[in-house]
Amino acid sequence: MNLKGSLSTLILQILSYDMSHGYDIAQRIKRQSEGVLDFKDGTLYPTLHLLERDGFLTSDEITENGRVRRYYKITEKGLKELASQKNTWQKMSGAINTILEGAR
Amino acid sequence: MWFQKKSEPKNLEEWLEIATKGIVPLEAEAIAREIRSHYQDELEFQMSYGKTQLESERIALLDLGDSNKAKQKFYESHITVYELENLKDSKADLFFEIFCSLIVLYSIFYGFQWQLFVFYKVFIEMISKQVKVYFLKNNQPLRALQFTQRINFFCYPLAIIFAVQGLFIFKDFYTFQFYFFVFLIVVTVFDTVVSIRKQNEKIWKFKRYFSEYALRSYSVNWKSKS
Repeated sequence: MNLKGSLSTLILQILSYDMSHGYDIAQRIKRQSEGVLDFKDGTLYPTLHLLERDGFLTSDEITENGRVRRYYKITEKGLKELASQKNTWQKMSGAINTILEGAR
Repeated sequence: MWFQKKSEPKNLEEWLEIATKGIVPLEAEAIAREIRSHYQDELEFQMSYGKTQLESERIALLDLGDSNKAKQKFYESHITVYELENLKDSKADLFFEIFCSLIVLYSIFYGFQWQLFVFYKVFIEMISKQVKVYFLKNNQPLRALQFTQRINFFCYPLAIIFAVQGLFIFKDFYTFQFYFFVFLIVVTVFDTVVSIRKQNEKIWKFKRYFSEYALRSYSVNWKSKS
């Protein structure tokens, strides 16, 4: 399923639990959605960097078992943005559901 | 042939080369480090499920997706070589706008010769911007940069002359000239605010670049070049 537009919301949600790196975020999204939500991993990193640019995330490079990883952490601004995006998503999905269920 | 389809990257290094093309070396290296680590994780994951090295590499590369799309996205959050070359120009533009706004604020209190202000705004600033855009559109960034710098050298002393004139000319308020002057001030302030907002994104990238990477070694090269 195409995640266009909603990938940033999913990333912020995953990072609201704990700090994490790109591969782990991608795996968690795939695992938690039971493989329904899939995306090309190459698009994950530009999205992470854009979220960082907008001040929703901060990042640090950490060496772990000889491998350099960049860990991302959500900021206060990011938590507010997540709440706003969730609210918008719920309103939108509610409206779509209403139409799909055939309400007149 | 010119319409031939672009070839797909055959391995991770080719993918990275396309995705980070045009991004300054130190930022491109940081992106590459992050994606290499991701690729290795995926490789190990696939091999743990009994896939061969070759098959795992193929899947991991496919999972990265379109390298050209990734490149376009990376341009939004990373500094490019072109932007770095124009950094000095951008700073000069920004400082010039701030300087002009200060003169406008100063002249609010001390009066101003509005005809000269119109000349300055219309004939110098607006036309110089158009010429700069013309050079950029014709893929001549260096000429655009040189032109802006020369105009700035001309405009700074001119702006100072206006400000000094403001000290001696104190016009009557409640005249057509006064309201026209107020209108010009509003336009200038608006112009400045828009310019600053447009440049915010670039400034963020530059700040990140210089704080994270340039302080190590690259800044020395850049400073010596400038």
